[in-house]
Amino acid sequence: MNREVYVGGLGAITAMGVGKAAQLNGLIAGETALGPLTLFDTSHDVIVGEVKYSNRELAVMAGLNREIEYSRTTLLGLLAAAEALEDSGVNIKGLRVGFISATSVGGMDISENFYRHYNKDKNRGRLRQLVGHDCGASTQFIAERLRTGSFVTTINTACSSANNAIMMGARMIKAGLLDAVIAGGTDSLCRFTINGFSSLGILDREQCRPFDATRSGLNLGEGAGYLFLHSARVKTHRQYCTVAGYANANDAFHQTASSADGAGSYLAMSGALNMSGLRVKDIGYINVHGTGTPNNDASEGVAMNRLFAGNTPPFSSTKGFTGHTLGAAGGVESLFAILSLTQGYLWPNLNFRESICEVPGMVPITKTTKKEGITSVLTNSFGFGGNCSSIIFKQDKIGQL
Amino acid sequence: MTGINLYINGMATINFCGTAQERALQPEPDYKLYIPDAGMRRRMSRVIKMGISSALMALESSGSNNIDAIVTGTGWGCLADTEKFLISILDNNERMLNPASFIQSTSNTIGAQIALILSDNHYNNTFVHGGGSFEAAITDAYLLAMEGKERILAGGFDELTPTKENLFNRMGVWRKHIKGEGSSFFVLSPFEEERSVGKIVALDAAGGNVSNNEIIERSKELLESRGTSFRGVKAALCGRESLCSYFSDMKIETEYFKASCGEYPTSSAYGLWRGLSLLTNAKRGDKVLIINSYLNEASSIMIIEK
Repeated sequence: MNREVYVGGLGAITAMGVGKAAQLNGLIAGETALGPLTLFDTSHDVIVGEVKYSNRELAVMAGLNREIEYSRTTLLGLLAAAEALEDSGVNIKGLRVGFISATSVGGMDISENFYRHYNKDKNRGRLRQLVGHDCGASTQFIAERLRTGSFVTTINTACSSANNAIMMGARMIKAGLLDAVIAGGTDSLCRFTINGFSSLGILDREQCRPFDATRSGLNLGEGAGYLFLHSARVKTHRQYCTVAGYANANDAFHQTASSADGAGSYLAMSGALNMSGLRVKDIGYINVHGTGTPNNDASEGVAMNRLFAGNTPPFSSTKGFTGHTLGAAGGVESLFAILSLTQGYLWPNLNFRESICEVPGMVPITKTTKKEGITSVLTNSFGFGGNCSSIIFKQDKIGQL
Repeated sequence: MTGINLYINGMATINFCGTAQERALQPEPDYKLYIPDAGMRRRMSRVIKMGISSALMALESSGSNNIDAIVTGTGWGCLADTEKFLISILDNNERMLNPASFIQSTSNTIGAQIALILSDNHYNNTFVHGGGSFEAAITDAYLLAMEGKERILAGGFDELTPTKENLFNRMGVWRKHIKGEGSSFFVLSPFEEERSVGKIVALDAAGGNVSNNEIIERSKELLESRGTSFRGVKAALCGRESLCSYFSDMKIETEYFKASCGEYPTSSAYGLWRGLSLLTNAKRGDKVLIINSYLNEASSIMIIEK
């Protein structure tokens, strides 16, 4: 029995725009979408990757009542998930279709407004605003809207969340529990994460410089990215690729810092590679986690250098385009990796000048490069708590974009 | 999911329920046995302490600390730390914030801390889907067992903070539900051992807000999928009080398990612990039905067997 898992639909929204075409255009243009924060007031001077639409505008785009207060996470997620489903061209009637979504902030943007009042007086604050606080609330709403309720759940392992959601979806299809799954993640910018990463001292006031010797932190972003995953019995408009391998491993080193030898990232990448049956030289492009913090990039660089024995395949961090979209990163960047595979491009790592001292000579792709013959791509997402997840997508012989 | 044979080879629970006064009288475990570093203990919120301790207790009862996956479920996550950081943003006007509560606010903190304590590099995942969070963790454990993992540490936990208590009070939740918080962990395996207390044989976690009649109908279907019926059930544990009479009318031993754990999103983890306790002196093949519903949001049905 064919237990292959196929990717048959894509959907995304980031600072680069709404929809997968906007992502592709932005990546090909090689221009950053980062800029000053305009969504809400904060005392921090930060550069972010914000989606350039208000909640009301997003609600209208998603066909929702703009008078109702939805969390931004819900709005971004609905737009991207609906796109992935539509892109597949599948009529889901009679199929067991699940929705597995990742988010790390959930409805925090609205809870923050509630708390502003509640903090002054414990009898104040509109209770209705808390309905969407739960991480699961956005997922449930989107699943009901898209009628993909055969299995619905939410994953939060911080910045690796969406890769874990895609893995969970692929595993459920392989186990024969579902025919198809929309899997990925969504997160919006909010004061909570801006202050959180600022308190950790890892927000760069300048544009982030992943894998550069002078890197000094990350820029936060927001967005959503989903894949329509399915078994062989579901027929989609297009077959982008297969999910060839994946692994989740734990660094077991520190709650927020990564180990110097990148134990967790090494295990995640090598685990995914082992499962795929591919050889290291088969990997044509790596979309690295590459947040731009000194610690992450050193750890990830060391792990790649070890796994690929000094011959790391072409790689880049796309955080310079979108910022770090946290719980959505795995969804958004899986889509970028798949676009690399199907369109034949290597995406540039913006703002790189000089290689990191931990791995001298390790140079990412610096310009959008057309490249034929990419057959497999790897994408990494690592999160707090040492949570490391890697996925490999492989070109599918049958259909191509 | 019905083709499951997930043996429970170790388990532990920590729970507090009832009014604040009642909860204060319920004994706390000796956390320093599991988290010896006093500084670490002081920095940890209740749910982190409960989570880590119950996980290590479950491993202790399984006879080994070796595991090859950690899966957790939590509806509210690390609520106290989330609130603490949110308040500090407001009170300090976004200046000079202590990152400790931000770091610990992430829902996967407990799974990560357990991995850190055990130096465990294996699979680690956290589900945050309201009243279905623990059920999702069990679903993941089932997949892991099918994929060849032999010892899976799975748990569910939630903490009741003063804010949650107050807000639920304003929403009228406590007029109908008992306050509660807790953490329960299990060591799951596809293989039976001498010390196995029982096994999960079926799980229906697809339920949203469903009526009593519908949940009874679905329970019947789930039992039938395992080749049995209500007659084959030794006891029914209900997480919704109004369901109890359906079973007592059928002369089935019935218990409203939330009387001893209270209402929180992952209270079904306590329900599983309680059901397994009932199987301790049961004979092979005896079945317990565990039916849960969380507020008006989620419902689940689990069948366990000796």
